[in-house]
Amino acid sequence: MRRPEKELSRQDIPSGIKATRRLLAYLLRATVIRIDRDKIGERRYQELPNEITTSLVPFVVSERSPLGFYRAFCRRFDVDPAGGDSEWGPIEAWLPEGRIRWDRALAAMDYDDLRVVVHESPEFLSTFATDRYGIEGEDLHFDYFPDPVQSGGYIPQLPRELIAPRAYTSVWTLTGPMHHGADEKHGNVSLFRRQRVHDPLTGRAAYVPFVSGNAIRGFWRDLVMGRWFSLLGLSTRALPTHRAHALLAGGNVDAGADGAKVNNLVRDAARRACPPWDLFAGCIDKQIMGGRARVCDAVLVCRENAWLVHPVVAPHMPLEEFAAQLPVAAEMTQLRLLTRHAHRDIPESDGIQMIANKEVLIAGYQMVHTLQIIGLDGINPVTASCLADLLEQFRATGYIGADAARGMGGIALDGYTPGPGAAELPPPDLYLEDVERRRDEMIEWAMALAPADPGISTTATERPKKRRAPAEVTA
Amino acid sequence: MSWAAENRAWRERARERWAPVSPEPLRIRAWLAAPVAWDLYDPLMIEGALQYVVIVRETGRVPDDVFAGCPISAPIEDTDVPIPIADGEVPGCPFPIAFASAGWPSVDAAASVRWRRRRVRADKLGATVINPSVGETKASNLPAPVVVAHWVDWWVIGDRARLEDLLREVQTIGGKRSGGLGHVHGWEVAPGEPWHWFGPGWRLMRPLPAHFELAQRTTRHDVREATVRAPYWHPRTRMLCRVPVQRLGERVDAVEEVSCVG
Repeated sequence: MRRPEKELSRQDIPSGIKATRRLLAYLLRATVIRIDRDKIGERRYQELPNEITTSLVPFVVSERSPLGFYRAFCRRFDVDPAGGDSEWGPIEAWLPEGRIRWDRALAAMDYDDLRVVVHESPEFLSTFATDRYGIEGEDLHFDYFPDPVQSGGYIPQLPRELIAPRAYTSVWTLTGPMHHGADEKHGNVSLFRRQRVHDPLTGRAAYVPFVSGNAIRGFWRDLVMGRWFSLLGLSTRALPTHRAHALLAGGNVDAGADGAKVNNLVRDAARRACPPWDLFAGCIDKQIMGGRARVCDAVLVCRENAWLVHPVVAPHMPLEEFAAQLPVAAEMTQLRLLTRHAHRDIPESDGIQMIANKEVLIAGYQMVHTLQIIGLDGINPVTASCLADLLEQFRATGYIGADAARGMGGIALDGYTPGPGAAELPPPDLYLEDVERRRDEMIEWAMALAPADPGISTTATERPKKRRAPAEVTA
Repeated sequence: MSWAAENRAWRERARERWAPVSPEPLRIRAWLAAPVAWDLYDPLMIEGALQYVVIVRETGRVPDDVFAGCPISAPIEDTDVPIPIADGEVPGCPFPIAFASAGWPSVDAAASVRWRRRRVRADKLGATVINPSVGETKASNLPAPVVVAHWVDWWVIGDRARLEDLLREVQTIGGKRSGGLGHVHGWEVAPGEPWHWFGPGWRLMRPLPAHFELAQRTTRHDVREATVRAPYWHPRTRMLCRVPVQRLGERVDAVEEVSCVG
């Protein structure tokens, strides 16, 4: 491709996600051309598309502006955008309609748009960038991408009054950095888990960190079951494996469980004997059961989530004023470097230094967590009391998320407050007294090898071996 | 005693308390606090969630436990759970069909994926060797297709006061509800257009039997097998239907000029 004659300025570049996607793709292509095989090494050069793909998202997360993003990219691949290391001068993005210098191109990009584009498909950007010469007419391909859903910035009218489902909420304040692993790996960087969020005040989409309700539910199940076993004086290892697995991890749908007879005796016995099971349930004794607790995602108190957390965090402040005081989610994380000493002084050591980055939520920020109970009015008081005990335990434990052993995930909370229409939970004493009173019954149920109904066989953890015909005995 | 006989009392009580008394056209809007698990193939209906709450309210137990022992072949008259939404009849269809549209997300809706992980607590189990990569103790990381949206709308002919009462207990919608998906921030019930079966531009708004003459005139639908009454997972009401085609990002009142397939 020949260098375009026309030089573009920032004003020649339209705004918006679509324009940013196109401009960034051409800029990355121009940058990749400057990567020197000798500088980065043959192996890295051969695996360039993969390295670019895995590095783009961490860059856009860890940096705060288009210039910062581009600096990080250039530094990683040892490229001087100013052109000091080449005869060609500063890097230019060559678009079909003209060329634009890298700094002017970056000045034309909005960082929110850039974030969306990078999150959308780093694979596309990497493919385009490493396809050095492209094909004729490929620029038209950018038009094939559908318009961004919020190209016009859809701003809904928020309701004045809502019928709020009954729930319990809590505000967590992070007392240390928190990490909760993302769904995808990006090289040696573990990002924080994010989800797409639409901010109704601005109409824009953003990827906002959150802690999955499922993860909190799993942690709570560990807590509440551990407490129950402790109160009973039981070791989980003493239990039949199948049962322990069900109680600690929800079990698994055994062969035939999805079509098995639904047995009310077994179900009632499980709910009665084990209040924690009534809360979280799962599949036990070939019965697929639903728990009473619905554990929602923990929502970050940030500008994008302002409308969600406003009724809990600052109900008396006007929403717009509250939102303006909050930082945007993209500014609430940082990368934390973790290393493992190489131990080259030890003869048997492999001598390899391990470096990893984790994206963490910065200490001091807050999250709002919501818990719901199915059939609040009809719930067994002992189960409700067990939940109260669990929430006390959680508060005392004071952490959530990954790497607690390294001091991450510390939180402080005041407990869970009932929302409109939700009653206070009964005190934990009710549950503790019930466990004390029915201890033998509970232990018997926990240790049981077979369910109450002899018609349902559930305890076999291994399939019965096929019988072979006895070998003929010959004299 | 049959399941139907055992459960007649609470079902009759529910009919008195939850059947619609003064039905009117309404629009029910769920403002979402989390993505909703939905694959866009089967419509997102609201009747099941309301039935769930009625059962819990009337029995104090979760529906799975209440319906334990109910034969799958039980007739609908013995198992149907009343809700404050009126029903209509379609000639030739043996089942009443609720005056309730499918759920329609706001125009900003976008598809996404939520991964749900589970790992075995191997060190706490008594077995000598636990293999987390196979068998019943296999760790899992399962994707769920989700939709991110500000809200989901349903148009119904229903009893407003009773619906508002029940919706206080509908905390989540869609699938995979126990772990945070489908979390409802709040509900709005307001007078709405009568779009429960047919929407603007004669658009099909919910699955209806394929042979239904009025449904044949509608736009934007597929003809395929579907069920027509909650609980929609139950095969009892499965039949050839016209099922609305929904696209994320489109307005429900965007009238299409070309006719549909089918």
